[in-house]
Amino acid sequence: MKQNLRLFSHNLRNFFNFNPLIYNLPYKKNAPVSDFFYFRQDNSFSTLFYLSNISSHIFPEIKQSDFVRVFLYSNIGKRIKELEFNLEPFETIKLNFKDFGINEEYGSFCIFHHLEKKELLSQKNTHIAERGYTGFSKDLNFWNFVHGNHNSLYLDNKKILKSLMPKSLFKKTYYPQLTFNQSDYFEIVVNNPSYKKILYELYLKDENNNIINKIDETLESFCTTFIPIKNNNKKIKFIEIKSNFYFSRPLIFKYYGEYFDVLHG
Amino acid sequence: MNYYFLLKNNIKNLQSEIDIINFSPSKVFSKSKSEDAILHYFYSNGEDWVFKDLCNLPKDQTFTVNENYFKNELKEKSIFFSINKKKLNNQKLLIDENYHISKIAWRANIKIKYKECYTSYQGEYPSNMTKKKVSLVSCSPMIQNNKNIKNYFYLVNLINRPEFDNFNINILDSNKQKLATLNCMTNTVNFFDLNDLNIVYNKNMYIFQSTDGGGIPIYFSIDRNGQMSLEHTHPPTEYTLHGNRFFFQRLKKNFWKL
Repeated sequence: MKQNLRLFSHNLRNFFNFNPLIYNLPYKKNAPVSDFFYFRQDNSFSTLFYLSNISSHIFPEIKQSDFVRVFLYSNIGKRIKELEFNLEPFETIKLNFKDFGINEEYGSFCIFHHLEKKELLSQKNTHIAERGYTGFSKDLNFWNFVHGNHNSLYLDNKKILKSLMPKSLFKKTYYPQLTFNQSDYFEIVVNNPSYKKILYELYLKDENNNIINKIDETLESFCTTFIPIKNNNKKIKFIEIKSNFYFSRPLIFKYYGEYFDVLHG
Repeated sequence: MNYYFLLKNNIKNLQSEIDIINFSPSKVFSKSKSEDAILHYFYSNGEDWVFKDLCNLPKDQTFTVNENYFKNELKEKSIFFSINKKKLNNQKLLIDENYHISKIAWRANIKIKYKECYTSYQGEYPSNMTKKKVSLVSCSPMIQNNKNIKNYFYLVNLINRPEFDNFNINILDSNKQKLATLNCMTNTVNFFDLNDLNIVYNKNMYIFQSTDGGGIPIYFSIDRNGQMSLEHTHPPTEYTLHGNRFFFQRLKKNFWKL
């Protein structure tokens, strides 16, 4: 009852834009939480993820195995693979997407950890959150790393994914705190970890904050897209992203000739 | 408020650079609003914080600065930055202004440049970290085991007082076996070549641990063609969401104590 009241009040805060939360609260106690991570296999890219026994990161004194479920979604929002792993205490394994036998060029994935002994999580009203490290490579030798970006989803008792991304009736703007005018090509990656269609509006701006171009992308549930931006004359210095998500922080790939930089905006 | 820093190093042909940003990432989550300000760089001389104004930084504007700007004057110094409403002179303690109050951090794009290529991450040094005793547990899978790849570690430390104090960081494997010790200093962008430590990096995870000091742990790799990677590790609180996350941080830090 107390938990439900708390959830209700948080949802009201978000609805009325009064001191909103960055992420909603899961309705289920102890439910595991995950980012909606990006993977790509297009244009000679490969993806790697380091999967760790999360119990050893949270309460390492309790030596227990960690049962992990991984769900992969194609760019059009179709669940294309479910994987399961059992990790020993302190174990970390590499998930190399080339081993998964998937043909999709890009999409998103989420990872949920399940622990036997989780009383401490209940007592402290907290949730396990997977926001680990993804590597991207073009040669399978050198990996360019980026950590998890959001607390996007949780998994309920019935193995159903629930979104934690607060939405507003009115569009909210996110301003990535970096400049784009050193790179002549970059990509903005956005996905939709929710069950409702979402419209992203991407504004490209010059050094005086004048709008050069606006790009709209509509994403259905669990879809992923990357927006390629040519910046040959390096006029684009800033971008802004508007959507009904309160916190539309994208993943960004910036290209410098044959090399790339990947970061959260 | 937040401070920012240059990731200086001693590697030939690599330069550190930073985009300093004077606007909020999200008006919904930020109490502070962008204001006309002065961008300072500052460093410690051991007794004082030496503040110099770099430029006026109007609201909603950015400023990019490369380490070459400081080449002659401050070759050996660790350079930090702050955005202030008034011009500052030398200080005995860091100035923490009522700015950057936000649920989502006001960050800078912290970069390393090789030829015309960059690697970067979005970072900041929060003022609350300068006022308390900090420790470190950084679990990193980002050390790449390949003879053509060089791995480096930065530990950025900033404390309120300008003194330079020494502290050690241990590198452990997941069996808590100590593999090496690194000597760090406060108020410094500490930089280490991990290839010099005689460690065979054949594990998927290494733990960088200290009870005496801490800061922002950042992992940098470069291969012989010039491909680069730069990323920090999460603090222990990021493995949980909502509730008493600091309880779990304490558990983790206590476990890895030697």
